[in-house]
Amino acid sequence: MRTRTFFALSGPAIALMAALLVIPLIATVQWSFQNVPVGEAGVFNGLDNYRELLTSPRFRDAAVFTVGFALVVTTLKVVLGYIVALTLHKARHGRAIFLGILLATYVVPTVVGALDFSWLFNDIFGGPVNRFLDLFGVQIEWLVNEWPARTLLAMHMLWHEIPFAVLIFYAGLQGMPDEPLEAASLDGANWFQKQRYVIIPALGRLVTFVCVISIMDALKIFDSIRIITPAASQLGTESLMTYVFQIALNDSYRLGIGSAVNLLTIILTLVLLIPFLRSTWRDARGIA
Amino acid sequence: MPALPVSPRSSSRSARLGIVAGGLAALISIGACGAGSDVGTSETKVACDITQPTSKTTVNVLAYNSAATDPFTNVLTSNCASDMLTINHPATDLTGQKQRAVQSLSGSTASYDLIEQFGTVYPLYAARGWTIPLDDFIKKDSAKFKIDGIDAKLMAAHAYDGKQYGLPTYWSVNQLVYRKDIFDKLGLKPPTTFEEMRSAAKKIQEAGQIKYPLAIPMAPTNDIQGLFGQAIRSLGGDYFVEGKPVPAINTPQGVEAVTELKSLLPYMSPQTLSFSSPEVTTQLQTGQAAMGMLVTGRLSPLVDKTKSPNADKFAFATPPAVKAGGKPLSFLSVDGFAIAKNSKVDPALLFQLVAVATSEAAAKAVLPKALPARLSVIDESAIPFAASAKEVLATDPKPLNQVPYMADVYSVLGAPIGDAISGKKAPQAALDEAQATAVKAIANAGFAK
Repeated sequence: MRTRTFFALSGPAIALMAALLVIPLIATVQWSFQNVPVGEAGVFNGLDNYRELLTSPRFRDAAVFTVGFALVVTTLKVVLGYIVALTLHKARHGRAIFLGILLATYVVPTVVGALDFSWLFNDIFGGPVNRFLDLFGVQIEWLVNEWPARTLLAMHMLWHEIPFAVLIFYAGLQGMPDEPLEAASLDGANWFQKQRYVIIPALGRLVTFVCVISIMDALKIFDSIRIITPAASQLGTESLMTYVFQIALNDSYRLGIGSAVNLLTIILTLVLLIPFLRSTWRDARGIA
Repeated sequence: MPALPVSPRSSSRSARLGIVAGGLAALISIGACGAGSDVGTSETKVACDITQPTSKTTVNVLAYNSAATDPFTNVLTSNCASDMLTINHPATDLTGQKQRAVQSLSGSTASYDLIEQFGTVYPLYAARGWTIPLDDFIKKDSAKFKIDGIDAKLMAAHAYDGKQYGLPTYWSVNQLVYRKDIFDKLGLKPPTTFEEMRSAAKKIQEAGQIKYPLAIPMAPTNDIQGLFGQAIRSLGGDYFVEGKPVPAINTPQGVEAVTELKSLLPYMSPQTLSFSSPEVTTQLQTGQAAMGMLVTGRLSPLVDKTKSPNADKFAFATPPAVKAGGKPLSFLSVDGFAIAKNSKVDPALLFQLVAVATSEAAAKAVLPKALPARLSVIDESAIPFAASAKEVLATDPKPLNQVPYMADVYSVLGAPIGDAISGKKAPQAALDEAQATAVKAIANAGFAK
């Protein structure tokens, strides 16, 4: 392709990327070193924003919760997604119906889904799950105590996003050739050995893909927290995104410190994704 | 393990079924999202007595969508648009409104010409010079638009530094709502102090009728800092040292306010610290609570028979003071319209539109969902909570402090005060933290002296 043609074809996309990605990123980096009162020019304040954040217990708690949440939810999403996909793959009937139902939870807007989901556990709105648990003498204050509230958020995210993992793994299972499994059977491999040494390695790239997407999704968890546990900072469910919303957008427009949180979140995201990106890079380069 | 054999026919049928089911789910979901319109409609006919522009003019109105705000903006879009004048009112929620307003007002050109404003934000807009004083326009057009029909106390809630920066549309105060049938049965009277409120709640609990008889919005996102402010003012304190940009949060009154609010928790749902107005409304509507406090703008669903099974059993009163002799636990919230200084549209035209939007006819259109700033149009016999609201208004509830750093301070108080009331931190320690963050917020906003 001639250079002129290349730039003519890719120019609009590059310009769009620069306008929507690069320029805001540069502004974010710049503002993270400034105090930016609302509607006024920023004033350089060196590392003050970072110093304030890194010594703030509230920021530390939000960061620890967000990372922990991302790791736990991603692990559960991969495990449960794989189990459901496997079940679906083996099912003789009703696959389409089940897939359709799964998609319903996935396509429901997060805010709507979170509201409906929270009502299942909220006595004020009937709380059918609480009533069911009452039958066994189990009473859980989901919206008041730290770990039940965290569990509720994790359950909502799994309810909402497991279908994505199921669809990916199911597609992978559908596309698997029969020969390696037949060979494993001839070698006397049991069911667990086939999963461990044949199927899971074959789905390796898909697992990486699901992990990358899931970690990125979980690190930016926001709307379900706002809906399910609005008292996030009291309940220990404040994420980095709800924290930055509160300090930079809700009422107080501390855009400088908000930018610093965003940059730290980008760094955190990259750190968490390094093992998966490395694995993808090695795959691409054909390194064993 | 080999894949189970699936015939091409059944596979294709399964796929079709899956697509249909998924498609249906997607359609339902998309339908649930809804879509906003740029122009609302109103059945209220208003003589839009403005000087129509001679060239094509577009006016963009920024006002969050709600049952209370829409009637005012819809009066404009339905009655004032012409061949020469286009009026747009894009849909947005309260959070979106706050963000868009700042972005539009602080830029070199306005995305929005008319801005809905309220207590936490309007002093900032005025102090930054983002909105224009309306005094000259009011003087010129007062008779034409009967602007003196708007209550003076409510007008003052949109003044800053001696100038008028907005015309009020509707107002709210905090009101006590209670179940008259339960109170009568137990021989209770509406409480006038926190002690009486605790005592009444205890009697209702002991009567075995309602486990958690008291319901008050206490979510730390937006409610608890307001409640704290009302309590501290009831005790004679305030958010700030008078006339200075210095918070007065960690004072003895602050500690007492927190302690008193905390003393109500045994009579409220254990989940109360996650409840905002919708949850409290539901508690009252469904008989899960017998008394509560809500702002006027939230009371309409309680007395709506289509939404509330106990609609005719509610009564309303002035909220209690924290202690005997103190001011009732309330505040004054007034919404209104302001004009963006960076608008390219003729400000005289914009003022006339604001005057039409706050006219008597527009005020009547909002009834009974909210109480308009023109008090004379309110029919107290038709709106069960109106008389009580006027009584509260007569006690001179204060609006939020009319200082440009109010929003900055307000937003950082929720978390530490929530910590104090939930018991996560000792009141003094939590209020010391609130004080420090408030001081920093004022400094960061550039208003510390």
